[in-house]
Amino acid sequence: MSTKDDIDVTYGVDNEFFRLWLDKSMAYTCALFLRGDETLEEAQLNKHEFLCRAARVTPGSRVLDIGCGWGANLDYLTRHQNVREAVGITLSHDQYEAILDRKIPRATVQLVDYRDYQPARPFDAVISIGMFEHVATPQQTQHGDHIAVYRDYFRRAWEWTCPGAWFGLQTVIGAKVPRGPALKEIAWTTSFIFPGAISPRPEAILAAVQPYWEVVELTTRRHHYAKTTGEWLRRLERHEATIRERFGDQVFLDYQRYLRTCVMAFEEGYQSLAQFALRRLDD
Amino acid sequence: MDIAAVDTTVAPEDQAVIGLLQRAFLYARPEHSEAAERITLDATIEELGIDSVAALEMSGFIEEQLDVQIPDEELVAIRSMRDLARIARKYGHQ
Repeated sequence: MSTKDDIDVTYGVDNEFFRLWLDKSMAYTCALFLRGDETLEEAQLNKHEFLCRAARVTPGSRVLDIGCGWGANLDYLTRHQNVREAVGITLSHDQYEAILDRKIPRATVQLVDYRDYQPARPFDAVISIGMFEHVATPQQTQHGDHIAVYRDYFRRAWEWTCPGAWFGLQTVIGAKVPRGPALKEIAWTTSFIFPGAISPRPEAILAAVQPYWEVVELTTRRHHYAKTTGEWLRRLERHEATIRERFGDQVFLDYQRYLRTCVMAFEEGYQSLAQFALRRLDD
Repeated sequence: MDIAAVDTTVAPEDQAVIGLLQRAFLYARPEHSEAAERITLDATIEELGIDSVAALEMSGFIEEQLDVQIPDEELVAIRSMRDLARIARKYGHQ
């Protein structure tokens, strides 16, 4: 698992910095451009709706959001799906504070490592968007220990849920091993923007869900993430002067390089985006 | 370093592939040339003070040298120089 210091590098630049180039809901994950002409804000709602369907969320559901970011999904669950209760966990202090400030009805948030989390009651559904990349470290993956780490994550999610639960999981996946200049840029992004994180290979996820969850649906969306990161890049560059003045030249240059790399990596197919509908196995 | 030097404790069939690994290492991490001298087939990536990115750069060098494309599932399973040597031999290095 990425350490708290790693998480602070990724999500702790400044909430106001991210507000300048993310959508209004502060969703920092792939959006779904289902028609193709949606705004980023509309496409983010599409993503939340898709994952709610994957997790079989109903108005009576109690839903856990593992790695809840700045609360975009918690807000969607309560405002648009009218769930009974939404609980988010995050390791980022900045995100935790931002969610408290949002005062989302029927939603609570805890600042806790998922390995230490103990729910008061089991959940009907789990959603996790863009957190799975932080579960195993590059070192664990290099040593071949990553599948055991992922399996432990899926075991915990199983223990936190009721029989019959579903899990909507969204994660970046390593689709094609990069070579040459693409390898350099993707490695830089991993080291400097997402230290401690790594995009899992899809076969590792398929192996690790067993014996706790069944993969019922799997959809890949790399063109949607190319478009999402392209939109983030456009918004970042539109605010270049403000970002340079308030957060420094290096922050602007680093994030411009990172987002350009993301667009390249998704367009070229080095990385993709996977959305899983997982059914809890109870037999 | 003199990468043509022959270590008499290493079998001749291994010496050639170790030479290829040393050249791949110097391509990937020229700033750590001293570590190339420590390459043995049993050396792990970690023991050589490099990371998985450098290992992928080494495999990229080997791909170019042998004019082959190594399947991704073999690249992501590289843990040691022996893994790289096995791949190099499998795809044409004598």
